[in-house]
Amino acid sequence: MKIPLFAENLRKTYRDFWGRPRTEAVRGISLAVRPGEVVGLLGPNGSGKSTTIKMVLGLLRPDGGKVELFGLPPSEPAARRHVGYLPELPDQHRFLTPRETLAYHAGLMGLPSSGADARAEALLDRVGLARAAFDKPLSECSKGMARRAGLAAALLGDPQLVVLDEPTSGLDPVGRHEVKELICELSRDGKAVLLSSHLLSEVQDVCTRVAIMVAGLVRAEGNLSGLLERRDAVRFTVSGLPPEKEADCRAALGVASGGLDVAVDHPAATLEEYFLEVLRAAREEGGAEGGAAAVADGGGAR
Amino acid sequence: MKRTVAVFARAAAASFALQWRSLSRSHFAAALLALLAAVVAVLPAQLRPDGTAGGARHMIAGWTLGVTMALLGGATLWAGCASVPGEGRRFAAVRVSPARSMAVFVGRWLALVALSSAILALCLCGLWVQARVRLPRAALETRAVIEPAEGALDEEAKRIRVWAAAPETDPAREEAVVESIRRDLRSDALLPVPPGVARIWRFAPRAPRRDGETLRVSFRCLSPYGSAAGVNGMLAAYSATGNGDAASPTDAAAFGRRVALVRLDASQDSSSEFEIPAAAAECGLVVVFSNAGLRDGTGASALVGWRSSLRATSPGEGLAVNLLRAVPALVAVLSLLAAVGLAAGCAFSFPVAAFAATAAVAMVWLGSSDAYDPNAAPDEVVHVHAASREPNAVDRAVEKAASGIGGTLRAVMAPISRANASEKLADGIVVGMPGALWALTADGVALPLAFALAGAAALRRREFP
Repeated sequence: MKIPLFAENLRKTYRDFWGRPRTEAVRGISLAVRPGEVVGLLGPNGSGKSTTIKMVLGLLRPDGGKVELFGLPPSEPAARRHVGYLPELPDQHRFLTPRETLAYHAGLMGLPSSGADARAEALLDRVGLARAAFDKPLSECSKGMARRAGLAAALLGDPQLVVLDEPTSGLDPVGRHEVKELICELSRDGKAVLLSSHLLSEVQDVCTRVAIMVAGLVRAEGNLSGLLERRDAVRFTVSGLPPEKEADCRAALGVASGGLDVAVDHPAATLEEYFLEVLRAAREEGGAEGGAAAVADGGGAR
Repeated sequence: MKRTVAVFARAAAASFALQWRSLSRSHFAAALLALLAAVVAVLPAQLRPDGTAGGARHMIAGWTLGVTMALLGGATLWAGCASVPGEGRRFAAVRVSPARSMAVFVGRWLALVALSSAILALCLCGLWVQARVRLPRAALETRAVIEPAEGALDEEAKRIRVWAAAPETDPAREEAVVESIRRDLRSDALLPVPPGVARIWRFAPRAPRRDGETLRVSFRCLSPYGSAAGVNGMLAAYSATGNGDAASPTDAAAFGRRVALVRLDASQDSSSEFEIPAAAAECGLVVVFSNAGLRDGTGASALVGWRSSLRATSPGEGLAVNLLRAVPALVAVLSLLAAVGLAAGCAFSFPVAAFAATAAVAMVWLGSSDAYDPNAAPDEVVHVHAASREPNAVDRAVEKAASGIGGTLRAVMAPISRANASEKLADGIVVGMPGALWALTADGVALPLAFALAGAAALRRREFP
């Protein structure tokens, strides 16, 4: 099978009206996303992430280099048939309802109308949109609900390559968690995912590989575990150790290591894990219903 | 192939639905509808006609329809310009989808045409109600123009050539001169009729459609100074029974039995209108205008157009039917404007597209009218700077390019110009269905599809940073 996304030595310079070079946005990057991979593009503002994504999708013409989607140039409709794209905000027409949004994208993809409604409903369910919002104009929906509708539209044609630009932007922690699970699910289904985000924790949770861009160049690239592993330190985790035994353990480790510094601490959950835990507990106790979000969202996120 | 067509149609339908919803759910459409409703409801009450039935029709039907079309046409053009740029980043999803640019263009164009046509239909209904309420019965009647017979123009061109100058010795050159006169007649240029000379129109035999039907003949000429007075002449209508081989314009017997004779006085406005029984044209009708000049044989030439000066008409079906007949030609105008706006919007940002499209439409509108200099020889180029220097190669190239562009624009816009629906509605003249349908086919469908090709190509080339 052809690689879903292959880019080699991509370059892009933005020019002024007279064609004079103004900004060298991308200065020769290479990228490949294979089936089942979730690749994260990281970098500060102006590092060239969005430009790279736009070149990959054919929205911008590279000044140099080569891009192929499933072995074809992005300008070929056949290449774009297997691509799902969630642009950065604002990504959807505010006068359409989520159901109409999906019908519109289904038409653009040339999908037959038979069963389109059922497919749209299933996808809107999958991205966690409340049923009461299916027929509500997006102008009356929250930013998060609109983002979910956009995500459903990106997945409509069962794409083999999914490109997500800030997919969790505007989503609450629950929505972020659901989207992260969805991305992992896509990866398990063998889809290739290219993700651009500012949220490092999000990228860390879902990506198998990352490319860190600075000033139009990829400064670091590789598997997350390999990149993040600190080979100069070792961490022992002992569950259920009584506090009075801590000092003994520290002393024993100090002796065993030949007098090296030994740090002992308690592993902490991430804030997101803690937030989700509190929310789950509240729901179990029946205290999560009501409030403005429930009224506005017709039941809120589930 | 079948699948490709189906995919194209689905993408076009999706684009149609989006454009339709975008406009119909926006404040823009509501504001436009309110504005047009106000125009149709209020404008006729504000206009002060000249007291004649024709004047009242011209004011109410002509002005109201003119203002309505100007507002609706402008709105359609600008809505087209805003279609793609107005979406901003959202359009990226369209570009990344496998939809063909052509399908996206066609769907949006059809939606613009459908919506503006629906608004036009509402305006025409309002206009009809206004006309029924405000116009006298006579102003609601329409007249169908009877065109001169095939060959009458050719015959007249040869006659004009005979009195104009001695024939050329070279037959090819002589034929070129006659052809240039034919061209002037066909384009309705005002040609001079000197004193003692006549202009003759022949009409094919035509059976009356019902008993008691009358044909109306209207005539109007201009003096060389462009005024509507100062010409002495005779206007005569003949029931064609003679052989038509007239030795002179006053050789009446050659044309047949005279059924009407009207004298045009220099002190009047050189126009006349009379009615004759339709039965008089059963074997054909001949109308002769002769410039009598002054008693001493001198006097001014009359400027006469082949179509605009003489008009023979028969009774038509009424204003309601005429409004329906005008619809294809009016829709053709809206369709073309939508396509021009969309194509501009596909290539440029909204401000640039709106400026370029508006300027282009204004230039075509102003440039599609024929300027006529009665003193210039046929096809002779008039150089305003001729006295100072001879035209050089650059002048000639610029003139050639300008002439080519002007000629192309006139040819391209000819179907709409010839259908001339707005003016005919204002004049109470029946809008020809073949002409209106041809305008819709050529300028309302074929030409927009050419713009669609250009717009789709621009869309494929466009970048979305």
